[in-house]
Amino acid sequence: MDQEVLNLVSRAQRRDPDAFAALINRFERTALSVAYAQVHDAHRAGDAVQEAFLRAWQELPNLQDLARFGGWLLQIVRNAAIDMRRRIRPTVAEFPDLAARDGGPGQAMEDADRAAKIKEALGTLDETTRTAVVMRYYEGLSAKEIGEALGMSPASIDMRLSRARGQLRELLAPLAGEKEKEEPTPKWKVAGDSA
Amino acid sequence: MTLQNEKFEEIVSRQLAAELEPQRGKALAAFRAQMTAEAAAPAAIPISRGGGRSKKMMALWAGAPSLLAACVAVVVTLHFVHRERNVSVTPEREVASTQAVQPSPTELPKNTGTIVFDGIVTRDVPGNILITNDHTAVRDVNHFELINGNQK
Repeated sequence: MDQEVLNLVSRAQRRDPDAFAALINRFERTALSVAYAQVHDAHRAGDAVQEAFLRAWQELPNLQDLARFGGWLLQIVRNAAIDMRRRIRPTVAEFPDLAARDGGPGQAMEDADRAAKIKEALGTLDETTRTAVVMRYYEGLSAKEIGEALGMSPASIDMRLSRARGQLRELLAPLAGEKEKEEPTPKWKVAGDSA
Repeated sequence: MTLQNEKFEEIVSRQLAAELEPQRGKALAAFRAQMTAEAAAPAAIPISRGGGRSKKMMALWAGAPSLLAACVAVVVTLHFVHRERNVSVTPEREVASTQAVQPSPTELPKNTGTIVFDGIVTRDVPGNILITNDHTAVRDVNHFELINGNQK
């Protein structure tokens, strides 16, 4: 953990709200990745992350080793997501509002179908690998950064990612064969925003 | 194959970003809202971590009046019990001369009267109980009136 984050954690522990707000910005994507890997739903992941950060603010004075903040926070996020998964059962509200999407119902159905297939494919992975995959493809973290966040070696993360890539490629092959989209490639790699 | 890999990764990352990016900012907004609420809340009751100290204070303040009321009740009860045990002798009820007249069964008195039992009543306690000089408690329940020699 770099010195800047340590300073922020130290200030937040002394009840500095601005420092904690900076920590939220810093760790929010990682937290969303961990929560999403648990609950498989973006809205619930957002709710779990929100709850986890509030819980972390309450518990922060009890944190002994400030350098462990990242792992400690992600454990709180994971627990909040598990609690949420237990509390909430699937409902019809989860289905997307197809008519409201840009491009009309046809495009919306196509998007929803692709989202469902990706979710289903991610669901076939074990929890740790799924978390690593979401961190890699959503947040653009390196194996080293993912390993630090999850308390694993970079080699172990690389191995999991490689295996997951093969599995997902097979499951999502029909999607990869689709016609090229007109929109430009998204900039999903977030430089300098790693945990 | 490389192109296929890139496309597959692009699809996954685009999908995850489309789902998760709108969720960003919720945590910060919730945190700011909580900070605002805490700042606006009155600081009348100090909240210690874990609530241990404030709970003790609450228990003390709630328990003290109850304890005081219980003490007063005990004192008042003891006072009345003590008074009942020290009942003074009622001179009016003392029978100066209680030498019983043993009436002959055949010679019942013709006039109306009250049967007086053998013994000297020395004390009177509440509840119609008479204490005789041989420390026998007698409950004064019935009076027998004799009218023309007949018990009524």
